Amino acid sequence: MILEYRYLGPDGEGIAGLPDGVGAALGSEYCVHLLPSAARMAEAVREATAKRAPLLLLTPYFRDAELKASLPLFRAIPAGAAADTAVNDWGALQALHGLFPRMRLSIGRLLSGRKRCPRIGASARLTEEGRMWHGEGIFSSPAARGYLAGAYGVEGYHVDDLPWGRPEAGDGDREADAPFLFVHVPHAIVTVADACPWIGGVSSASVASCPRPCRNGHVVLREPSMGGDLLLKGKARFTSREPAGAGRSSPSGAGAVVTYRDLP
Amino acid sequence: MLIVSPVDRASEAPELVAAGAEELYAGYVPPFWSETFGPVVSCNRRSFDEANVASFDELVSLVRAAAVRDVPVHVALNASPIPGGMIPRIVATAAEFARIGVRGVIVSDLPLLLALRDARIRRLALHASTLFSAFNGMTVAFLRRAGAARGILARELSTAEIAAMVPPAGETRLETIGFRGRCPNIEGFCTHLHDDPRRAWPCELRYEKEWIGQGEAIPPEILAAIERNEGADRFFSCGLCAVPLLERAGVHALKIVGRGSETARKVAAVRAVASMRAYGRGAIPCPDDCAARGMALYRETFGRPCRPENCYFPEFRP
Repeated sequence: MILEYRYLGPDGEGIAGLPDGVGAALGSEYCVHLLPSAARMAEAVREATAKRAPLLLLTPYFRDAELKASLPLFRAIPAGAAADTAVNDWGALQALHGLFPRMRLSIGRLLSGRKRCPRIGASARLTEEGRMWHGEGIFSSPAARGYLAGAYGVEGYHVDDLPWGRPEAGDGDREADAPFLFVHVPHAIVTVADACPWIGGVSSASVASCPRPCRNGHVVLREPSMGGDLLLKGKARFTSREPAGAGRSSPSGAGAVVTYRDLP
Repeated sequence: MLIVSPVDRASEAPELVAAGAEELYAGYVPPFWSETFGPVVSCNRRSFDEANVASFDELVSLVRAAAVRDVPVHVALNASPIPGGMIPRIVATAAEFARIGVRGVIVSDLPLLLALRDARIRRLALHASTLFSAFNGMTVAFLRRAGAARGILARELSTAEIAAMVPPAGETRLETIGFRGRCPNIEGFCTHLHDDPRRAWPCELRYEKEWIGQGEAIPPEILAAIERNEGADRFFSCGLCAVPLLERAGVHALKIVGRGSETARKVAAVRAVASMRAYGRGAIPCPDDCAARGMALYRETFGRPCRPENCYFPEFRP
């Protein structure tokens, strides 16, 4: 059975309204200012526990001061809670596994190594093998998976549902020792900047707190050579495609699906 | 603090070393890689021929030309991901590099880093590429455990953030990127395809824009911030103002970007960084003095004033 998480915004508002059996995702993969407060995280854990819904906390990259300031947020997740934390920072993985050895950790989309630029699907200069190379990632390396599981307790990997993505349905070699994949649909992160246009184009680290103006809208970027629209929101550029693709009930290889009603 | 310069062929080594380069780094694509993945997917993220040493024999000549000047050569193998089937062949290639005198490889793929660590190739140091997005000291610790002797930090860090990372890094040497090639996106998180033979990259294109959200149009301050990076030429990127303070903080090396650029441009970049470093050693300047000197040197080097979109260390800007 494939588990479903619905992204409920940075603070995870609306857990009580989720259908039975559906989990909640919150936080952000690309901006530290889109993480919930420690108090809100504790509340989200209580709400999810009452509803018996699993939680998925998405986390971004951190500077030293940001990682230190975020520790109360992580402390708000009780040991043994049905909560997964997706890390997009190798230092966060190192710190969280050391400080919270029982925390359920997974490797986020930004660390997967997979390429998501829409141009990959449109480029006439890529060979087919070259195009498929863009769908590979850390999750496709048994050696890396073994290392991350043994040294850091990593239990899963976050990926996107991409036309050039592996594993493909019926790929026997992959299925034999397949990693647990959280597949995010329909918005794939193409790139992330440190400077945010919504705060004047300066680094997000230059403001102590942010009123999150990026929640008010996004910009569609169009250029003929790109092979598809880019969607700019805050510090991230996304590309979107129809969930699961035509004729498929769920993305191949998925152990869990993370769905988004709006851009995260 | 060592100055690390790009190099593309043996004939460039004497000029670069004379200008002040103390380490050189190059790209080389083994034939088995390009035969498998075609012309766009490079094992070192530079798909155009000028950015790669043309042959293994040329790489041997380059290493020799640098060695007689007591300068080590490192080779970038910083594509990510390296598919599992390729890793034994890349490890064997790295062993060949070590045999001819290459002193380090720059790696961004965790499976490859682990494989190279376990291969224990003598006299070959492992450098963790900036593509590992080392924004904090714990990432340096992670990379050290995975086998890296040197960590190349994320390009977006401030001088103070870098300085604070030096003491806890211990024996792991820290390198910063500080001249040319500043990307508007975090390189380790960017998945844009750089396939245009004219080198017009997706991060530099001018896009048609449409606003979806509250209000009828893109708020002007957001639009201005987006358009600031459109058409920005990364050749003009600079971090000269920070050089004296980075050296004083104990940063091991400063890297200049520019594999594939003309020799004269590489030499000019090395001279500019060397000049700023010499100023810092002689004058022991405060940050304001560094900014004044760095901006003047920028104007001398590029013939124009510096701009925010090309600045590695905006904390020095007025």
